[in-house]
Order: sequence, then C-alpha cells, then structure tokens
Amino acid sequence: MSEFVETISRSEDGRFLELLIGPQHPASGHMRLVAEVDGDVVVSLRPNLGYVHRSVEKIAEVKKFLQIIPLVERPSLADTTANNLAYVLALERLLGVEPPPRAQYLRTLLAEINRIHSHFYGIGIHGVMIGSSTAFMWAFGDREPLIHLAQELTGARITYSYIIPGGVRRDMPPDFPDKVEKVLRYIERRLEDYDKLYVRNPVVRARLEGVGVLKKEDAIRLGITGPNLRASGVPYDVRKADPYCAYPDIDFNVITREEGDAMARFLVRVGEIRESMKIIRQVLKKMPDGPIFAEKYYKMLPPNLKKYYEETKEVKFPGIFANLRAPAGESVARVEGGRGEVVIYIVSKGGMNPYRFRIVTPSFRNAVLFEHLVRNVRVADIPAIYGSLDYFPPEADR
Amino acid sequence: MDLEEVVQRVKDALSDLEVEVQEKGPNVVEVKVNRENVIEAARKLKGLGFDHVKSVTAIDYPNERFEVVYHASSYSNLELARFFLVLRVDLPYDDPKTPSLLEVWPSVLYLEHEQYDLMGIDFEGHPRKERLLLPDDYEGIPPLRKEFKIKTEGINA
Repeated sequence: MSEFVETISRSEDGRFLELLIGPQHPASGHMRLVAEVDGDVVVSLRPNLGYVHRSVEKIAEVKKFLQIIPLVERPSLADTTANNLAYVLALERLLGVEPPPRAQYLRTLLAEINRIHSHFYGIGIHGVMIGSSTAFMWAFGDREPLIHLAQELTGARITYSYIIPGGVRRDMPPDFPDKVEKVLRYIERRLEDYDKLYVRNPVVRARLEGVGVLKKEDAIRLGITGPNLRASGVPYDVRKADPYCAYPDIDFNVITREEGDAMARFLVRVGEIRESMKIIRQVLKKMPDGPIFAEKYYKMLPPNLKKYYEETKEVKFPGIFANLRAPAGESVARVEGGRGEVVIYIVSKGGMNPYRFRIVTPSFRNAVLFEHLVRNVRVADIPAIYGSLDYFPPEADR
Repeated sequence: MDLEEVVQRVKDALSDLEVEVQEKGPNVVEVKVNRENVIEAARKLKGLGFDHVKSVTAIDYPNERFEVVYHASSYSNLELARFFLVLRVDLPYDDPKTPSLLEVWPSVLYLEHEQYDLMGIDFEGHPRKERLLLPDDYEGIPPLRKEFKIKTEGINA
C-alpha cells in the first residue's frame, strides 16, 4: 500500500493517522479517499468526490435534445448504452413515440453486449486492485471481442450513440448472428479458464470472502443499486421490475447471492455475464423483421434520405431533427445498466432544450458504500472492497 | 397491483395530511406536499413500502419558487418496485429551505447533499454542509441555478 500514501497528518490525540489515498490515480481512480487509520485498521473512511465533475445536468440545459445523446454517454465510458437508452426512453415518453419491435430487440442486443464488456471491465479492475495482473489482462483482452461486435453493429467501439428517438441508427449486418455465436462460444470457454485460475483461486478467495459484507437491510436502506444490491440478496433488477425494450419476451434469471461480501459481488457479475449470453441468443433467435425506425419520423424524412434508409438500413436525420422540440411536461425513465440502475428525469417547458435535466448514475448511488463498508477493516482490504463495487468516478461525478 | 390501487393506498395513508395525490403516466404516482408536512408524509409512504429514494432533484423557477422532487420506490416489495413515487415540495424563492428526509430515507444522504452543493437548497437537519462535487473553495452562485450562465463557444456542435 505504500504507493497509495500521499501525506500523513496526525489526529488530535495522536493515535489515529489520516491517510489520503489518491487523487493521483494509483488505483484510487479520479477521486480521493480520506481514511482514518489506527495502525493497520481503518477506523473510518470518506470518499472525496468531484475531481472529474463537469455538470452534465447544466450542460444539457443548453444542448438540443439530440445533442444530449453523446453528452450522457461520456460519464460512463464502459457502459454507455445504459445512459443512452435511459435518456432516449425518457425522451420518447415525453415525445409520445414508440419504436418498432425490431428496434426494441436491437436495443436489447446492444445493451446486453455492453453489459458483458462492462462486467469484464469491472472484473479486470477489481483483479488488478487485489494484485492479480492476470485477471486484469485476461478481462481486458476478453472485452475486446465484444467491443468488436458492438462496433460491427454501431460503427463505434465505446460511445455508440446507437439508440435514437424512435428507433436505432443502423440495422444489424446479415452475418451478425454467426459472429455473435462465435464470440459467445469463445467467452463460454474463457469463463471456464477464469473459474480455474481466478474464481477458485485460494488467494482470491482469501482476499474477498467475508470482506466488506453489506447486509440486506443496509443495502435497501442506503438505496444501493445493481450487482452490489443483488449480491446482498435483493432480487431487484429493472429488467424484471419495470421491463422495457424486448425484456418482457425474454427468459432470464436475476442473479442474487446471500453473502453480501466482495466475493459475492464478483460472482454476481460472473453470473450476469452468463445470463446476458442467454439473453443475446434469444434476442437473435426471436428478432422480428420490419423497420428499425418509427413510422412517425420516417414520414418526415425527405425522399433522398428515405431512399438511403431503404438501401442501407441506416438512419440519417435531416437537419430539421436538430431542432426537435419536446412538448411541455416531464418524464422519468430507468434502465438496468451494467453497474446498476440509471435514472433520467427530464422537465421540459416545450422548447428545444430541457428545462431541467437530471441523471442519477449507479456509481453515485453506490458511493455511500465507501464510508459504510470500509470501517474496521485492514488497510489492505480497501482495494479489495473498492474493486468489488465496480465504482467509476467519472460516472459518479458526471 | 395496478396504478389505481397504489394511488388509493397512497391517498389512504396520507388522508390526514394536506396533500395532492394524482397519477402521472402508467407507473408514476405524484404527491404534492408542503414543507411542514414533508417528513410526516415521507414516513407514511415509507410505511407503505417505498423504502428508498432513487433521485432528488431541485428545480429553479427564477423569482418564483424552487421545487424539490424525490423519486422513491421499493426494493423489498417487488410488486411496488414497478412504480415511481414522486414527492414534490414547493419552496419560496427567497427561502429555499426544506427539512431533510435523511431520518426517514438514509438513501438521500448523497442525493440531498448534491442538491445543496449544486442548487443551494438548504436541507435542514442534513449533517453535511460542505462541498460535495464542487471544489472546496467554490464561492458564488450555485451552478445549477438559472442565473448561473454557462458560456458556450458559439458553435452549435
């Protein structure tokens, strides 16, 4: 832990030391943790947020509705689809637009591809935090085939901006299902390797089991979200609780565990990767034919863009969409992203920008866990707990 | 459980308080309450099973009023989890104070703190009156207020 030490100051009676971890990213992320330690034991810890805050909510008030799509994606780089989808669902509720069934399935497809690579990202960072470079290299390597799939579908590696009001930007390529199947088989094989090298590794178990235990009633009380909530035995998943897109037609399980420790949070993510693969296979099997873009907006396209759409199955918005106006009113939407629930709330006064835009990301809601869980634990448990939360500072700071 | 039933339950629970309850959209129940009654209302709503808050939003209507909007829902009752309970409190523009709901819903700890930091709403009884996302030495107009103007580059990109 010596590389984490920035400065040390003595508390009043001289017994406790203040230990500052970060913000110069030695695995603290773009944030700082302020710990009070008694020897090797952390007495209390407070996260110090805001190092990468840029007020997405304020910027959204001067952006037009379509411009907000890339804006909301930026804070959560490993999990952009969740923010993109939550925003577009809220906007569509305001506009009164319903995407066609094929678009619903394509949205689900991308959301699940993204969930898998977001989980690999979290598992990799967690690995390197507890000293397993192999887990880091493997997970970041295995993220890559999924990013390639997303790129085939959307044209971008990370910031897809794929989901637009009324549908999605592009249809999937004809050979896409075969490519997906290949990747899924590869990931299945790899999960066996992870199991042998990492999941059942006695060193990993010793570092994670019984560490940072979050009780079920505390998880509910503190409003924790995502895999961190489900690892404490609460079977809440937005995809089941308030289904959207194609999820009502899909058969999948909500992965929960009872232990609530760092290991359980890690295992829930591994379980969710398997469930996501199940979902992707069903989505591709059940994928309905038809348009990928709402009739209401298709009619508004000029003839040349209609022709382009028919030939390429790619949607290009004409200039008039830049000045999209939402009627006065408000709407709220939530989706289950890789890290948890994303809530977006839009208040519109009927102009070209939202009057008030609110985005609550899972990392922000989970930030309280630092002070709740990192108490009466060893200093060396800080990274083990931190990593298990899959916390992403830019997402929390927004 | 359907929306009507949830609305009815909320109305029954809050019957002795001055509140306005209405449905908004397919799964949203809205409750308007004044700040004198907000803690009592929150406590009764928690008793119905709305056990956590997902979002706290303060809205600025310049020279008119502030509004604080709580989005609550349930984790322990999965039937109720489908619904959003929206609790709205109006505050006078020159006195943006409201009691903190921390003692009812601990999940508002960071959410209220954020609105204090960025919108300058005083949540009375909230233990943290320091900066959260802004720099510790920030002074001036809270950035989410309408009178705080952000400079754009003039390019509409």
